[in-house]
Amino acid sequence: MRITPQMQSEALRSYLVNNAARGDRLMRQIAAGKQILRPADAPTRAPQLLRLQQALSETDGYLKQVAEVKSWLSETDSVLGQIGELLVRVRELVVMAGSSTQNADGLSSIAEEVKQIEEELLALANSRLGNRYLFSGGTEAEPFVRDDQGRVGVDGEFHVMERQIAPDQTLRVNVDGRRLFVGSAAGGEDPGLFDLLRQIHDHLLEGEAGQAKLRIQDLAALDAVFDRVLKERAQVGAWLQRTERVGEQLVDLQVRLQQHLAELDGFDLARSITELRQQEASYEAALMVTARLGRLSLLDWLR
Amino acid sequence: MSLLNSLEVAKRALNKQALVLETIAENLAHADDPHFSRRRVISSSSSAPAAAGGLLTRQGPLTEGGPAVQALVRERDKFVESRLRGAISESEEALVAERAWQSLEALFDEPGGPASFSELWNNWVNALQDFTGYPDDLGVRQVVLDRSAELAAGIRRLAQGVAQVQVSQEEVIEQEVDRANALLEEIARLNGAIRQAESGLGPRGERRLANGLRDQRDALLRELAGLVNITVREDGNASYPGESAGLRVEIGGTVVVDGEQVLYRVEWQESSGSQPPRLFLCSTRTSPGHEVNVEWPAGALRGRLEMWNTGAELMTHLDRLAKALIDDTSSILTKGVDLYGSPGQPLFVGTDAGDIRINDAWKDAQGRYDPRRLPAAMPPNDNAVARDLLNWARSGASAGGVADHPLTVYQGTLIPRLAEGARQAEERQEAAGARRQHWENLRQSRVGVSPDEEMVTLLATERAYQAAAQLVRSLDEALGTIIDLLGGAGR
Repeated sequence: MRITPQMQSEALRSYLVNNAARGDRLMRQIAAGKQILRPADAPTRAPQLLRLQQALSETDGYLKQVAEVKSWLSETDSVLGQIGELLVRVRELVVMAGSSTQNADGLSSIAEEVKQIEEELLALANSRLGNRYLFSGGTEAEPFVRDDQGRVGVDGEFHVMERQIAPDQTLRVNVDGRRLFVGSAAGGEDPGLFDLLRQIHDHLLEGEAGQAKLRIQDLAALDAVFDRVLKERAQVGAWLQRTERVGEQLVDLQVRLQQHLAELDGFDLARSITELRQQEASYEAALMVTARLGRLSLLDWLR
Repeated sequence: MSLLNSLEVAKRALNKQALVLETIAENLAHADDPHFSRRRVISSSSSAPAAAGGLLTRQGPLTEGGPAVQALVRERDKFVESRLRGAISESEEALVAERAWQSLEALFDEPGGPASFSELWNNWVNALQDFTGYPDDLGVRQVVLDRSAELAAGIRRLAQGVAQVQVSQEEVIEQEVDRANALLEEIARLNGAIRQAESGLGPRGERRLANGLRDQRDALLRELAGLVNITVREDGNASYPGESAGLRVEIGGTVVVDGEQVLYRVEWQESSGSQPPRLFLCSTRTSPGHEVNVEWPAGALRGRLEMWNTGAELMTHLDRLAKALIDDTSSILTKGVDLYGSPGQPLFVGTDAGDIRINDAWKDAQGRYDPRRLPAAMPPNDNAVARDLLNWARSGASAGGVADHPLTVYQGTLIPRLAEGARQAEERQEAAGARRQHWENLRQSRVGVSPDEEMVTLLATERAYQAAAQLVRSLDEALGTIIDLLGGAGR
């Protein structure tokens, strides 16, 4: 076959262009740390890749939810713990007041302490995380407020708060503060925490008649309320555990998705760099051959 | 046989060699011109068939007169030339497709580019996740709205981008049709110019072929082939088999140029609605022009038509995706109470991917939302709507997905089509480019100028010229001697 310089230069040009394109691709793959830079690189794997990326982003979203639910529940748990401790103190005071050795002065100072504890409990009942009340059940305003007569009442209705912590798992995360603090019917058989404390306070100031009520009626009611707090706390603990388990599962899932993503993409740095080296070598060789051959001409020998 | 006869032979040899030297000069001058075909001198002593016809026999008068120059021809191979045109058509078509697919790939920006639908969708789903956690949080609601608006804008951007690809194809079709017609005119004109130029003889009595014009015409034919594959019919030329006497150009079996006449022009009709643009031939001899519909052959023009259709196909998928998003979210939101506690307002409105947008009612809804004034059916931390939305959004994520879910349409139809289309276009372009290169090489191998080769010819011709000149000098001396002798005899 006749070879003309035109053919040679054209061949070199197309070789250089193709080689540069391959080098560019390798360079971008290495820089991005990815084998699949566009769907056309792997038509069959591209949709799967998108699905995996999406699952990963979703898992990240759930992990965020889980973290928030966890801090909400831990906060609830710790507030319920503090409430329990205060109730233990109230019980001690009631037992102390019920004994016949107490005189009126002692009773009134106990009454004062109960009153202080009630204030403290009111603050705890209105605990917030961020701008949300832990026990309000959704209302944005302070849920537990004192009315004109000094009775603690509740504002707004309670609503169950449910969070989605995993693809198919929702979890209730709020405790019904209404049932706990205000009771089902004010002054009824099942008095709320605040009504009970008020009642204890009143009984403390009633003298001996009150002491009898304290011993029999109030102590039992206090135990019932304490039980309820414990039960709620146990419930919160169970929710917290479940959240933690789900969180661990999500982290596992995240790791597996990342592994799967890496496998699907199939990027191998060592291989890419080796290829790049080969590419460089053949590019250099091509340039060298061209430079050598290009110099050869009969013109140089005709003098 | 006389001395004078020998002198005549030497003269012809000098003539021929002078022409060969001129040819070498011309060849060397055009060594870098890819459209130039190297020239060759055909003389009575050449082995070219054109020089046959008794000229090589000892009986012919010219044999005795030395090498008479017959013609200056160019090297050419009709077969290679026609295959090259075919390869150019294919490669130009593939190139158009490759570029259009590349711009579509850049538009979709997958996997996971910052402006890609996947990314916008993920952001939207993440906002919905937050929304299920804080259904009454104004900030979270605003983020849901913002992400929804971004998603809608992203889909509109895709639709506009695809439409833009279609529009730009049509714009180029218009220019290319004009160019094709200009080329047809020019080829017809060159046919005439070649006929005229070849009617006379050169200064040395040789037939001069209009080689420059013929090269020009071949280049134009190749350019035309890039736009639309043509069939070139050449009338045989008894004297120079490589060359043609007359030339006709056909598109899809219809003769469009016959000699110096353009019979048909290339015309096109713009797209209207879902009707794709159309290419056809239009007679130049009737008014209004008689239309001829041919099966449009390969070439850049056909590539553009195909890409227009591909754009239309992608657009239907985008429309399906947008419609599913609009309808499905609306049916969830309008079932009961919407995001803002008022009777269900759809989130997305519009009819297709081109005009999907967020409901205007939402823009000022932010100020209207008051968690304390919600209807009993929707307590402030009720995330039922948010959860329904999230679950619907996720339902397309599973492999296979739900039919006609936006994600199913996107990941199951659009992305595979985009991936496969771009890959095929790339492979096709590589293959067609390699074929084109192959035929271009073969052509160059036959017609290209090699300076070294010309140098070798130059050396040989130089020697021959020197020898012929020496011969003339010797003959002159011999004649002088004879004349001197004759002069002496007369004294």
